[in-house]
Amino acid sequence: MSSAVRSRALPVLVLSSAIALGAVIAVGSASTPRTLLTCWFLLACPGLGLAPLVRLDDAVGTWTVAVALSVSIDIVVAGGLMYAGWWSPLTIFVVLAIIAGSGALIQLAMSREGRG
Amino acid sequence: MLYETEEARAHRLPSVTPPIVAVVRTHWPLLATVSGAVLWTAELIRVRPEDVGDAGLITALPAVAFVALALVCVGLGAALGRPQTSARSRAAHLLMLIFVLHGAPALPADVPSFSVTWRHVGVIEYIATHGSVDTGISAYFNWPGFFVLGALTGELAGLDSVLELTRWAPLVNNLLYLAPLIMIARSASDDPRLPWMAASIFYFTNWVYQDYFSPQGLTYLLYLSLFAIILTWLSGRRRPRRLRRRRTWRLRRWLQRRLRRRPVPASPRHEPVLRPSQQAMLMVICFVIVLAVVPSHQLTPFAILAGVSALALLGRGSFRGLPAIVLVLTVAWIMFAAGGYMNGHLDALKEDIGNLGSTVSSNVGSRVSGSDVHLAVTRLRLGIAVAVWALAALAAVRLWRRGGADRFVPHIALAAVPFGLVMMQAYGGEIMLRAYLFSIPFAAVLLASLVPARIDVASPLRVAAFSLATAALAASFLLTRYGNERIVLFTAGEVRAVERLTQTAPRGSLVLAPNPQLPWQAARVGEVRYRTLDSALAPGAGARPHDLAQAIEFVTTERRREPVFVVITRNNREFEHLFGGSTWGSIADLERSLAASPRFERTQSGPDAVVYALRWLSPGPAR
Repeated sequence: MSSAVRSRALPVLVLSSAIALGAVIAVGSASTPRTLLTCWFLLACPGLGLAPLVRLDDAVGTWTVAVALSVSIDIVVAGGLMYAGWWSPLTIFVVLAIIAGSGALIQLAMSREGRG
Repeated sequence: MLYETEEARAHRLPSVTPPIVAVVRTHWPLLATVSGAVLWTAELIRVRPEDVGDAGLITALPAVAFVALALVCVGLGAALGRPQTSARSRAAHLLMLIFVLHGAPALPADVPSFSVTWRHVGVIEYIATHGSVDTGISAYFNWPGFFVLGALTGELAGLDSVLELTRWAPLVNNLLYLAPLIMIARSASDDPRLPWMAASIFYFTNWVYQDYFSPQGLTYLLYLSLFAIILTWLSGRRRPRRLRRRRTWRLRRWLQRRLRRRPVPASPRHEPVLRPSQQAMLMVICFVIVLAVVPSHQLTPFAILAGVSALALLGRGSFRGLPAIVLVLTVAWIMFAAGGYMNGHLDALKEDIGNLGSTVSSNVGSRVSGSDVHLAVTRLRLGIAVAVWALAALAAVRLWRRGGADRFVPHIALAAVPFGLVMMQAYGGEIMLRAYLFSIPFAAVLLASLVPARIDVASPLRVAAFSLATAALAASFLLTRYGNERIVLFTAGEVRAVERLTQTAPRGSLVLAPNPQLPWQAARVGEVRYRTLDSALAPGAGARPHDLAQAIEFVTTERRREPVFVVITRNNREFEHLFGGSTWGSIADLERSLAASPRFERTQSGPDAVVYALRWLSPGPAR
């Protein structure tokens, strides 16, 4: 796998995960794939959107940071909205998807810049 | 090829052995581990909760399961002992080990196990339903981070209850712990085997059972990740003072003259050098992690505070403001968000500070009780903990004597500082367990450093020694970790009985149980009150057995308008058998007393659970 493809794989994965989860939430029925996709999104995606921006050059390190950051962002965003009296799982998902998506788009932009 | 280095491959002569033999010869450790894991899984599926004896899961295992476990141990021992094993192969072995130790043991349970898990599900259900917390109902609501995340997961996944997710929480948590554990060990040495050995030691010696579906299970991941980040990228060393350095070197030279230096694990050849912008981003990430830990668990922030303060004092952290940030956030949360809880418990908490004798008594003395077999298991746990700490101390002394302690200083400090927590609180008799838990990741690195760094030849004897050591650790782990399975695993019958009671009890009902060991509080938290007889009845209430029903009636007289139920399940009885009777009396006396009392009516009856209702207060729906 070339470095250009590799650098785009993670942000594309994050964006597609957010879109896929949004789609299954819209459809509305509970299923095992939906549960797995939810767990994957909450455990990894917000962090995978942001952690590669640090450019750590260490796969184990990047994944460690990504998972810890994902869980932390989930708790901070969900807890913050709950204490503010705005508990809404859909709103929380949108906020998390925006965080993850923004990071992923910046990664894509940076990889394009690096290529150019 | 997984077990062949580049160099070995370059010098290999054309092979005349059949391909299948070559594959087996090369990959036999992985084949042994995988086949052992498959066999282990197949055997565990056949175990029934009813078969489990006083010593836990080990008593219900068929002989083939031990053969399976031996295969896993031989494979893992060979992978760790053979120098030519690749990192990818070691990772594969570790993943299999985690599944064997933490995934497969969930299979015997027909229903989610461990009573505390059910309570956590109840808190999550409350948040999902109400979108808020109520600190008046439960202390859990004072630190709701984990529960909020659980509620969000359940809602986004469209689940009625997150109960089914709890079954695999130990496996998922332990898989997530692996990457930060590897990073923590890697920060001490370039020896490619040390991280995997340290991780294996961690998984074999972590019998504490805090990786279930719980706030501490999740915040432990954040704890490990935070220190992995600090030790790997933010360990900028402050230059020691000139005078102090001169003394240190003089001491070291003096020691070197007297002690023969032997090889110790290789230090990192090139510590990662980050730009200031990268360091700044990592500091922000550390801040966000702390921001999530503080509202999620009451103890973990203090463990983090102790650790980062120790590193700051040793000059081993470039994020010097972190201890102050952790302190301010923790105090602010305790004062403002958890203020109600603190007001109610401040006196009790103050009493524990510095009261080491009482803490040790409540942590050790009260736990070493119960049936003879359970006592033996408890003593084995204490023995393993003492052995880990003693060997870690030995490793630290050895590293110091051989001039290799410098690179392990952060690990030595982080293995030692959790002891400071013992001085603070008894933590409901659990602080020593938690101190052990917080210290093992770093103690495991020290233990792994005891294995000689340079092993150039993969002798069968060495592989056998590694395999034997692994098998001994696995056997002790089965006893220490799964020694309580008799009370941890529930039967479908008792779950059905408790669920029926919870669903049909009128709003405002009081549900009483002899002890907390039953699958309850997973639903209608805030609508139904749950209480154990340990907390409701005075010591000696059952001095005359037939008084117990009367005593229950007496303590619930203020609830004349609300129904009162007493539920007794199979696991309540097992708990009493394993841990000894309660201060108020025995379950057998309680059952006799309730059955004989005209005030109580039996509303459910079966081998796994019985439910009684106060007759003149019980309304229709529960009958």
